Amino acid sequence: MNERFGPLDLLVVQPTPFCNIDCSYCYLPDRGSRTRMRPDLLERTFAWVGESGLVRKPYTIVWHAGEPLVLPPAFYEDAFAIAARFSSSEGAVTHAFQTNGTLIDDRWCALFEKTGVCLGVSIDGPSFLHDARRKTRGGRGTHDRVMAGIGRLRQHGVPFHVISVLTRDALDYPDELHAFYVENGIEQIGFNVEEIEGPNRDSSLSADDATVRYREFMSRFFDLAMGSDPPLRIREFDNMISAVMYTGEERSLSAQEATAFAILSVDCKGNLSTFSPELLGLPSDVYGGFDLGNVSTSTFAQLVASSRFQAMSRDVDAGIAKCRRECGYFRFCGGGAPANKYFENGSFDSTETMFCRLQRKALAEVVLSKMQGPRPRCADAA
Amino acid sequence: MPPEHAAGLDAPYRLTIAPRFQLGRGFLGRLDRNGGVERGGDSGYAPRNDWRALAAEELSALVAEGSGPDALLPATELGLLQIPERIRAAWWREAERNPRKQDFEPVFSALVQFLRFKRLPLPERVHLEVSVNAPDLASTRAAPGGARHGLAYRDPGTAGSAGARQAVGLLNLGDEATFVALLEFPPAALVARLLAAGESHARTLSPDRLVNRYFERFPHQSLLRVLLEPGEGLWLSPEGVVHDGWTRGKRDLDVVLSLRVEVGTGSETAGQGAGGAAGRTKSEANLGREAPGEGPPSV
Repeated sequence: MNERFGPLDLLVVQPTPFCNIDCSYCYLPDRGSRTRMRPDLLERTFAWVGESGLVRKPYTIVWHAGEPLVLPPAFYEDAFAIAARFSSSEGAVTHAFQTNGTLIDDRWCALFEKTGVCLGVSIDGPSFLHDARRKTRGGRGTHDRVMAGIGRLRQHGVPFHVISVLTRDALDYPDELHAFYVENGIEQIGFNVEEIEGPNRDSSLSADDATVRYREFMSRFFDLAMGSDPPLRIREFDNMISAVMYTGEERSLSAQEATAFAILSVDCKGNLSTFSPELLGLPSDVYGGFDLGNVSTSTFAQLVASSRFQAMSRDVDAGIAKCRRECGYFRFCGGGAPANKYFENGSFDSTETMFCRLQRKALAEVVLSKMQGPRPRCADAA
Repeated sequence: MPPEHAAGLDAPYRLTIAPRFQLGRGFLGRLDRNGGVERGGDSGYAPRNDWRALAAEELSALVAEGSGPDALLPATELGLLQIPERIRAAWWREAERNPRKQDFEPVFSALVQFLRFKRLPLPERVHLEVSVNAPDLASTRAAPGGARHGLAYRDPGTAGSAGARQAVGLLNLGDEATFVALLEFPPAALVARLLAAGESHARTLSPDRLVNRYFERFPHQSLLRVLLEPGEGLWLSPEGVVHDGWTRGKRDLDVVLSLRVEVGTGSETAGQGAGGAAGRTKSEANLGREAPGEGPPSV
C-alpha cells in the first residue's frame, strides 16, 4: 500500500519552534516557545519513518525550526547518531540545516566540518534590505551578526548556500544584491518570495505591479549572474531550466510538495504532516488543522486512513487537476504549492496564487526568453 | 538683493538620494557652502575657497525627504546615486589596458543598463565622457583648446559639432572622494534675478555669458560643494545646473565620468533645459523661446 505514497524525499524535523530573532515576514507560529524535542521522541521519529515504508531511496533530513542552532551542537551529534542507527540500505541520509546564521561560532563550524551537513544561511542581501525585515526581538537589525557567522564559515572553509527573501523593496536592487553575493564569495543562492502563509497574512508582493517588477528583477539578475566569473548558481534558474528542458511531470517544480509523503514534517512534539512543510502546526478551519497524527501514537496506515488526510489529499489532487486543465504553465510547474493555495485562496482545491504568478509564470517567461532569444544589448543607448 | 522665488522660477534645487539608490552615507558631512566666486580659469568664474560645513537648519532646508520606491526623480531635485563597484572596477581594468586594445563600450553599456533599470530620466541618446584632472584645482571644466572654462551649466559646441552638450549626470570613477561645486538655482532663476536687478538684456544672453554676467553682478552668491565618494554620482536637473569640479585637497588623480546630452547649437538662451518643455511650467518653457538667440558663444 505504501508504494502509493512517497517515496520520502525530504524529512523536515523541527526540534524546537523557538527562534532567537523575529523576522517580520515569518510564517511560523509559536516561535517564542522554548519547547525542544526529547531524545526518546527523536528516536521514535526515526523509527516511525523506518516503519512507514516511505524510505525507498536516499533522502534529506532538514533541521528547520524555529532556529535550529538555538539547540547545542551536542543535540545534533546525538540526533545524527540516532538517525544513523535507523538508516536502511535503501535510504542513505543527508543532513541539512537552514539557519539564520546569527549563532554560528567555532563549535558549530567544527560540527559542520565533521558531519559534512548541507548548510543554508538565510540572508536578504546587503544590510539595508536585510535589516528592514530580519530583526531581533528588540527591533534591531541582524545583518552584522549574520555576516560574522558567514565569516566564521569562510574561515573554516565550510561550504554553504544562502536563501534570500525577495520583498517588493528588494526588486529594485538586483545590482546591489549581485554585488553583495560576489563581494562575499556567495556562489549559490535561492530566492524565496515573501509569501502569504499562516501569521503572515499579507505580502509586499501582493501589489499590482509586483509581477512586472519581479520579471524585470529576475531578467536583470539572470544577466548579472551569468556574467559573473564563475557564474552564480541561482536555484530558481537552475530548477526552471531543468523543468523547461525535461518534459516529465515528476520533474516539475511542484512535484515534491504536491506528492503525499514526498515531504514529511515532524514538530518537536512528534506531530506529523505532509505536503508543504509550512503547514505543520498551523490552524485550519477547513480541516481542523494540518497535523495528521503523532509518531508516538499513530501508525502510517492509521495516518493515511484518517479522514483529515483523505480530505487534504482529495483537495490537493483536485487543485492539481484544475491546474492541469487551466494553466499553460502546468508542464513546468506541476500544480503549485498547496500551502500557498490554501492561505491565498482558502482551499487546496484552487489554482493560481501570487506564488504561481511570480515563482512559476514570470520566472518561466524570463528563463524562456533568455534561452530562446539573443542576449539583450543596451549599447545602442550609449 | 534680487527677489527670492519670483513666480517660482528661482526656487532652488534640493538634494536627495535618487529613488531606488542606496548610499553608504547620508548628507551629514557631505555638503559645504562658500561665500561666493572669484575670477578663475581662463574665461569664467571659480568658487572661492572659503567652504564651511552647513548648519543643521541649512541642511534640512536643502535636503528633500527620500521619495518612495515608485517615484521618479523630479527636475527640481538633484539626486545622489551610487553605481556598483563592479562597473567602476571594469572601467579601471579597461583604462589600464594597452590603449590599442581598449574597448570601453561594454563598461558604458553596463552602466547605461544599470541607470535605466533604476529608472533615472536617462535620455534616448547620451554621451559618456571621462575627464581626468590633477589634484588641487578650483575648476576642472575644460573649454575647447584646453582652457579652463569655469562655472557653467552647458559646454559650448566645438567647431563642426552639432551642438552644445549639457551634463545630466556626474560619476566619480576615481579612488578618492571628489567634489562638485554647484549653484543650487536653475538658469531661469539667474535670468529672473538679473531682470529684477534691472538688466533687461538678461533674456538674450547665451548660457555661458548668462552665468558669467550673473557672477559679475552677484559675486557673493554662495555655492554648494557636494562630496562624492568613489562610485558615487550626482544626477543633475535637465533644466541645467551651473557646476564645476573641485579637486583642491585631493592627493590622487580626479576621474569623473559625465553623462551629457546634446542641446542644439549652443546658442540658445537660458531656460532651454535639456529636458525641453516637458515637466516645466508654460512660462518657463516660453522664457527661452520668446527671446532671440545671441549666436554662438565665444570662449
